[in-house]
Amino acid sequence: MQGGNSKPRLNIERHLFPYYLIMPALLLYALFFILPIMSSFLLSCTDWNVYRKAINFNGLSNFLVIFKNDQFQKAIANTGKYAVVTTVFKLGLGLLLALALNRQLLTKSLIRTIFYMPAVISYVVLGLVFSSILKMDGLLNHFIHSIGFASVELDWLGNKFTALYCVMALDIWKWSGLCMAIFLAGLQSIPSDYYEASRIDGAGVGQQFRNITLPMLTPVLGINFILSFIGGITSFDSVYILTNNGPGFASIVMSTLVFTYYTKGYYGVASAMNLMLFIIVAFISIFIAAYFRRKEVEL
Amino acid sequence: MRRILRLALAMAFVLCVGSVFAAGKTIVIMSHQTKFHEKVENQIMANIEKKLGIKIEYQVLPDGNWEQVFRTKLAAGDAPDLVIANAPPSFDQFEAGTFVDLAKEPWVSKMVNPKAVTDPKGKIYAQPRFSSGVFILIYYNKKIFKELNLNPSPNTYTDFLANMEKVKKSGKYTPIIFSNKDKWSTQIFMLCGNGALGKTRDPEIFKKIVANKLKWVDFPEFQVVMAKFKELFDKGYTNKDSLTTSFDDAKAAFGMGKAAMILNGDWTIGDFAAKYPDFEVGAFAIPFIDKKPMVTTANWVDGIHVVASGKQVDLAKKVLAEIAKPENYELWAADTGFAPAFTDCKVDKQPPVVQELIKKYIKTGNFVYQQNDDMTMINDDVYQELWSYYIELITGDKTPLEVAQAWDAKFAEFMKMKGVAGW
Repeated sequence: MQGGNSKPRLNIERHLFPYYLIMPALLLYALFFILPIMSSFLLSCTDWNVYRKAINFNGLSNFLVIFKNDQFQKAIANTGKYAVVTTVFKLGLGLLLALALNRQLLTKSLIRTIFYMPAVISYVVLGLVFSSILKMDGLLNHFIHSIGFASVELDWLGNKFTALYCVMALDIWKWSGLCMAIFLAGLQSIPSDYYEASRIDGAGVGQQFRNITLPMLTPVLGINFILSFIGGITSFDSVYILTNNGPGFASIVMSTLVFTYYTKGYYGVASAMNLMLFIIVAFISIFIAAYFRRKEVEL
Repeated sequence: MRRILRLALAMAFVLCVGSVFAAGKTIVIMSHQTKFHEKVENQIMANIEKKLGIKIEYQVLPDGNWEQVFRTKLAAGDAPDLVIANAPPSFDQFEAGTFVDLAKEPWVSKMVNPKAVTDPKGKIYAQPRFSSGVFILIYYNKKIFKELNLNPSPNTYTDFLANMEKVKKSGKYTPIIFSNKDKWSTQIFMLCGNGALGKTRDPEIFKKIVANKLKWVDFPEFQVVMAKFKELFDKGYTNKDSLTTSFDDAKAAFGMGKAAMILNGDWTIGDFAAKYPDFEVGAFAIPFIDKKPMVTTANWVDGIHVVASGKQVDLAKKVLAEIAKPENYELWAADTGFAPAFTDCKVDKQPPVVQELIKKYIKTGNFVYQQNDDMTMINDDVYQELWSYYIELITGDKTPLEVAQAWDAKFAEFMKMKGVAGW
């Protein structure tokens, strides 16, 4: 009789059914993401460049070239600085804005939109705006002059000490709104009962923030942290548009260094650098995600 | 209703098919910022579009990365039909077979200076846009020089610096304006100095460097010239925002009388007569060698190349033939002021200052070819590194020796990558 065998077969099919549904997406993901990364790993061990047709395996010599390269060392330092500073400010400003706008205000939707708007404006437009503000006869210097600090006027993007920080300022201004939106979602998911109960117990605003808001925001804090930090490590547009690594190599970061090597036609070395960037980003993402997951569990 | 829908669908289909066919008759020309003279290019292309019944699309790319975009398009099989680049350096910078040999084209016999676009094997891979040019000198504002009683033809380097000091002391103008945001312009001082000091001592010096018989650190004049360059910035003779001033901004500032001098090629003042009609411009060569100032010139011209892997080679050649006709070419010569490339061009609007300097320096033999002419295999993407080191020289991050050492390393890296003999 056939009925006795159909139940296990139905279970297997039921088990496999979800995989049938995700297979197309998985295939696309494998084709456009996994496969390029795997080939990048292979190509990073070759002398592939635009000047020669033959591609030869050269072991790990591309990685040695990278480590000896002074621009690489500068790029790593700048990238680390960039990621840390922009993350701190994006999260700080985003949280402050979210706390301020998580209240009953008549114009809260309008204000939230205004703060979020930079996130949807293209880097090219922002680059033009910031370049004109920061140039020698730009808005910033005019303002500084008007408040009596003419001696502080600088060519902000042409100064090796300030160029990278100006780029960071652009990034912070652009993405604080997104952080704010994510924090707002987190704040609105905190039950108001906790605050009422704490008020009854005599807790002040600071105590409420420390003991209720921050712990309950841990999941969104983790999301924001990962997004901001990874965004900082992989930043390209803001640096390329505003300073193009300049002046000299003062504001070079990993992504623009990879791009420079790619434009020179040194594809093997560029692949090696990109692979290193991928490994760094992957490790940091895993570490941060694990840390925040542990924090959530503890709470 | 159904009939209307069917009609609408049919029309949409016809439009799509039509646009596909129309797209096939579009010639794409790739150029980059400093080589694109918008008004006159648009005029000429409109004439040709009407004559040949085609569309011409210009792709104008930033100076800094047009070459890589072109290489990428070549590799992807999406090459433009025509590309404007420096010829004949382009013949070495790109692989053999990239460009079509144009030796049999009708305009070849009327070229004023065929040598400029002919390779050693007699192949012609570009149509010249001018016959000769690229005179790199100090262009100065005659009114400012008169007002401050400056020497319009300094014979020694000390006299040259004395001019700058006087302008600085007046407090009214920038002595010399630089456009270091466009890094290709940063190299110009070094091109002049290296040629004047290095090549006159040893005419083969750059060929020796290319052959790996000499290092950049062993070329002493290179560091001397860089030190002189740095001195201009340290003494406050330049615009404070030179690192964020583009070439167009510098040109405008010079044209509007904010700066006394600018160091660049004659293309800087080519359109001054039209843009700044009251401007009186003079020129002199920087006297790197006392009592022997010489102009730096270059052995290249802007050339329009037909890309061999383009999809419409024959049509592209027809466009070139139209460009070379007097009714189109004379528009170009009148607008740009470059030395005409063709003998049947009746227009020669070279600025008087260019005609004077040709008499003063070129015809008397007081000129030297720039170093890049001996290094045509090196493309701008690689030179960007050197130019960035020059920026680091200005910011104080590198000394002239450190620049030479860093450039030696990058130069070697490139030459090995390219597989040049001797490396």
